[in-house]
Amino acid sequence: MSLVITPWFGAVKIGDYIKRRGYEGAKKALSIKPEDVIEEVKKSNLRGRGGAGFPTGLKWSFVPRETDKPKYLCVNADEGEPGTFKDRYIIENAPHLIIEGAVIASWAVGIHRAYVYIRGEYLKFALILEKAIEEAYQRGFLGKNIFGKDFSLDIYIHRGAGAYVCGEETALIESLEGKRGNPRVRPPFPATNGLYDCPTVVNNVETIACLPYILREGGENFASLGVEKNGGTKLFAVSGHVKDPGVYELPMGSSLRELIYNYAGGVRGNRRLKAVIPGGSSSSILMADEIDVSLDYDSMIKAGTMLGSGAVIVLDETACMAEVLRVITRFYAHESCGQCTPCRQGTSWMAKIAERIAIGKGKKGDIDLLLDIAHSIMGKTICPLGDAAAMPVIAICDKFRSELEEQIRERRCPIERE
Amino acid sequence: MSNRKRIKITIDGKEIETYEGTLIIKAAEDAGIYIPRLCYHEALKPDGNCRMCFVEIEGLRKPVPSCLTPAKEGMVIRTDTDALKKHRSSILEMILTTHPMDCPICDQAGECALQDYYFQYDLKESRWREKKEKKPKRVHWGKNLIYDAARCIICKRCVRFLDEITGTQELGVFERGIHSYIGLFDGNRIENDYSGNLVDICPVGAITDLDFRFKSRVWFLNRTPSICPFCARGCNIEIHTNTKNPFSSQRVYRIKPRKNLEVNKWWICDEGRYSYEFIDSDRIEYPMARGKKTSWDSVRQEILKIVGKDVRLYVSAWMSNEELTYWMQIAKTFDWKLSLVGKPRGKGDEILKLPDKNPNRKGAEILGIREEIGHEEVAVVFHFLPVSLERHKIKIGIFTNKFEGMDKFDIIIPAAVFAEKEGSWTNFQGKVQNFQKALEPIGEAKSEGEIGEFLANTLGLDLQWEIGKYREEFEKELRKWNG
Repeated sequence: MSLVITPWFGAVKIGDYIKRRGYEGAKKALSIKPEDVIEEVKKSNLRGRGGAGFPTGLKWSFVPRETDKPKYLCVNADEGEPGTFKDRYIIENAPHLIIEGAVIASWAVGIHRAYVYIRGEYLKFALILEKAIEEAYQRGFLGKNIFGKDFSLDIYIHRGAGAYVCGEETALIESLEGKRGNPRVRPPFPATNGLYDCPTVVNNVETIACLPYILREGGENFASLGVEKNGGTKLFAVSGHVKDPGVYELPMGSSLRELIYNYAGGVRGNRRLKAVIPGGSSSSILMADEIDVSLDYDSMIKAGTMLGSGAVIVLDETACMAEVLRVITRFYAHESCGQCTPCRQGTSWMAKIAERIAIGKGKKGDIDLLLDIAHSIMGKTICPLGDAAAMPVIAICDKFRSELEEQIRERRCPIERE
Repeated sequence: MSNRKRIKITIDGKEIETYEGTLIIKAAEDAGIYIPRLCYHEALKPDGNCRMCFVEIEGLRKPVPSCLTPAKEGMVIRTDTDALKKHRSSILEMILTTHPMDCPICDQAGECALQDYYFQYDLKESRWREKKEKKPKRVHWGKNLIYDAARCIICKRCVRFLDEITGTQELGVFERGIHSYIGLFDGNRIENDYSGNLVDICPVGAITDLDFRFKSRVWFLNRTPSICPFCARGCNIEIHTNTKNPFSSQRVYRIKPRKNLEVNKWWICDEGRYSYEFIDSDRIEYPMARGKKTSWDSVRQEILKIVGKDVRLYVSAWMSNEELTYWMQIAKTFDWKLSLVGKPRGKGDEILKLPDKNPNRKGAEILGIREEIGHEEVAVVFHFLPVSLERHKIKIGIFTNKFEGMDKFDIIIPAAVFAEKEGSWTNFQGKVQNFQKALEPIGEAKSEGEIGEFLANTLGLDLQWEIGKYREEFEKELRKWNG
């Protein structure tokens, strides 16, 4: 089985990376026309790995080719979705994948300046990436006349200041401009009006890290690794009550059960599986009998949840759903930027109710109220953070209603623990 | 924008015509359909943060904010479906969860968007059972502004106003999520000349006016359309009065702007807003002779003394078009000289304020009245002292407010201020704008028209003060002047 990203793990130094055929993809890209690079990426069925799953080649093609304005690439390394730690692994273990990917994307779209927006807490990884960028400059893979071509690219690292919402592409752009990280109203989209109002591509670290493979092995090869409309492989960050938590690379379309039991070693302590949050904390929770689902964007949506960032959080029978609800709602209330009403007011209200339920002060009718607030937020906010806050609440309240009601009635957690 | 395409759209079953690209909220309002909003203000760039103005558009999966969606040919829009009503109710319920509900002590009560919409769209018991957030209250923002973060709905109209209209950028949003509040950037205070407008555009009671705070409930106020007298722009204003307050003799409570896109748009400057005190204080309420109260009969005696003498009228640039025309007629009949007095020039700015601090210099210019000093035996002076009065032996004044040197006048006749009479002024653009009578003249004061009639009658001239007639005559002059 071919893998796209993890085989390069460990090649932190540029010499090691080149030994493993590093920068061949970038060389290949620069030897063909930019349009053909975009075509290759379209063929690969690569979809945005940040969570939205938007086809990458299509996203690039929205950027105007001829324009008087400069164009920018923003590599989104503001990995903030709870449960997600895949981008950190890529940066830590194979930073040159990102640099090479950035060269490819920039050549394809006609970009000469790229920013890596990395979350503030990732200082160690920012330093690793900075070292790698230095190495790439020394070899002439960055800077002027890359590979002897009339093409230049500069990469800058920008560290975030700890706001989850800055992972949203327009908030990221605002933050990069030095402003408060509030998401922008769309349209216009960044492809035409992004950083400094110029055409901008924002791609996730993992998306960028897939590009060297696509260019080296061909788009069709990448597409064939996955399933229909979902090319390639995906990194899954498995955490929670499993024996072997960690980052695993699986082809698109693998089953969630396979990931949990064959890769992550199954539920720890041989306990029963209770539920799985399959795509980061904003994805709808799946119950134990719902995990025979194919891990690709479309199947997950059909299953009523989403692939998201590929952060799989496994919960065993000891997990208290009121506690899960409290942690998740508190997170979104804390991270709401506060600019639009439903998210600012609604997330905080939900968090307060969930907090009450968790400490045994729930009231009759709280579950219906939570559902009503969540539905009032859904689809009504400026950015997807509102939906991200509402979806898990709706799923937990629907699927674990009886447990939550018992908690409210009994004023304590109904889960028996030893 | 005349090259923009005219299109047809349907809102709530009503077909309307608009320009392509007009925001739906605006197109609907122009057609008489009001979509509720909190953050949208037609003067400011839409921000789309309150989420109140959602509408449904046929063919779109989800409702969209009408303040951000431009109209396109053939759009079919609904503003009143059950789902939208439910949505508005949710938004209001969510806002009210953190609202202090202190309407009984809030100045905004009675003209508060939140209050009005609650009655219109929500009107149910709150399901909020949690503790309210504590936020800063009574924050002094400078000059006359007081901010209450607990009442604030973070619509950012104030931030955007200071960004887009004055460009002074004193305010920003601080903290995030539910803890967000509007605050001054370090070292700033709002001292710009347009700060009072923030009170007007705040849809709730978050920004209140120190000048008006706790002085009157808004439903006790009478609102009279008028024109600001403080410069040649002639901003359209509303005078808010209350003459029935048993606890105060204050008559004017506040001045508010009236929208007029050609003159002042939505705004007025702070000078125009806060300088109403002269209407109620230091007024001349009775005829005065050499600084002492006197009777109308002695005024009549004094006037009779000028018969047969050379007279110069110093009419003022604060008099109405009609009054100026009328007094010109009087002067012509008696063969008196006429010149203009007014307030000296001051500072202007790029927004509204003009250096000419008089409301009707243009009207006087149209009538051909110029500033000049005379040496006739008698001077009749209106409102402002000319450069020199030395050469005139008999001095008759027609003044509204007390001033230094009143005792030098043989007679001072108390005149009504603009708020106590009706009339029109011609602004710097040549626009004739009407102001209406908001109050009865104070004490025994009379309008300059009535004073003219009194003077003419005393001198045996039957020339009645008829405002309509002199308006017509002024307009004749205006047409001549316009060519």
